[in-house]
Amino acid sequence: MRGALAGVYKLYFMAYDPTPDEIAQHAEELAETRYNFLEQLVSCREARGLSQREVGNRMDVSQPAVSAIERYDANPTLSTIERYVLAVGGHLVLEVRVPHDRWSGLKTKRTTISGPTSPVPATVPAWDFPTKVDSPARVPA
Amino acid sequence: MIQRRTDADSVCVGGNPVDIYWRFCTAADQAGHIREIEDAGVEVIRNISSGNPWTLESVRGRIRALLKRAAQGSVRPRDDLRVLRSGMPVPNLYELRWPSIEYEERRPPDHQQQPRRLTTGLRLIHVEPPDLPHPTMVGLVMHEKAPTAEAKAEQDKYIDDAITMEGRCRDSNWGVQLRQ
Repeated sequence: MRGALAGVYKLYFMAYDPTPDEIAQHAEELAETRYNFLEQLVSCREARGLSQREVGNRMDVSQPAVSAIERYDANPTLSTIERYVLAVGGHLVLEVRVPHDRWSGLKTKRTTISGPTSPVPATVPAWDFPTKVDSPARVPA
Repeated sequence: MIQRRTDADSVCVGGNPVDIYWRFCTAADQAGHIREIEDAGVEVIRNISSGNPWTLESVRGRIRALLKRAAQGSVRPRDDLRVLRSGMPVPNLYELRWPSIEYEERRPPDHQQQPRRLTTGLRLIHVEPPDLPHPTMVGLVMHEKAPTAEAKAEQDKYIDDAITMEGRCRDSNWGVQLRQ
């Protein structure tokens, strides 16, 4: 009886511990988010009619540096991205969400016990997390 | 006169569906071939890193994401794909690129210092046979491209290996069963 209760307790309080396949799927989604993000940077700059050199002047960096920011291998910092978005007059949205998946249900129960809860909307798709960067460089219509 | 190919000539950037193969892979479907390319890339990183499964599965996910883009013909030329040996009498060779892969270096268990965090890249050298009915890419060599001076010479060797393999295995369709 005690063993069964311990099992339920362990399940109830289980921390996020995905399988390798789940990690890979999540990493794939994050990579796709990043590809989309880089495309949005370029789209925003072009929509504003700006060259890489003009953006570089505003950021105090060279044209090749701007070109590098727009590529995957630059690995720009968040502050660099902010300066880029400022230079092109974009709209940056950074968002990290806990998705509605088999882990979040357990997590929600745990937070209910320890304090105020912020329930996850049921409409959030599985694995739509974290570091969701949504419409980072939106140009007003 | 050999016509110079460019990054934009690749089928992976042409906007049409692309059949993806990995040389000598016996899988019947595309997902199986992509899985083996992922395995090859993960193995490269496993051999140089501490083997953290989060790092390895992250690499797997990144490889899969770009291959899926390649399968849709939506890879960004130059950034994610480059032509190789353009203007030379070699097959239609290109490389897919995964830069900025961060990992913890592998150290012997008795090593006193903390392992360093390093950054490297992966490259998939592939051939795009022009005489097949569907746009097709066949992966030949997956290798590390570290940001070091020696990496260029190593890369040339990998490209030579790919050219040799492509020539020897062309008649046998690079050891794969082409899908209809």
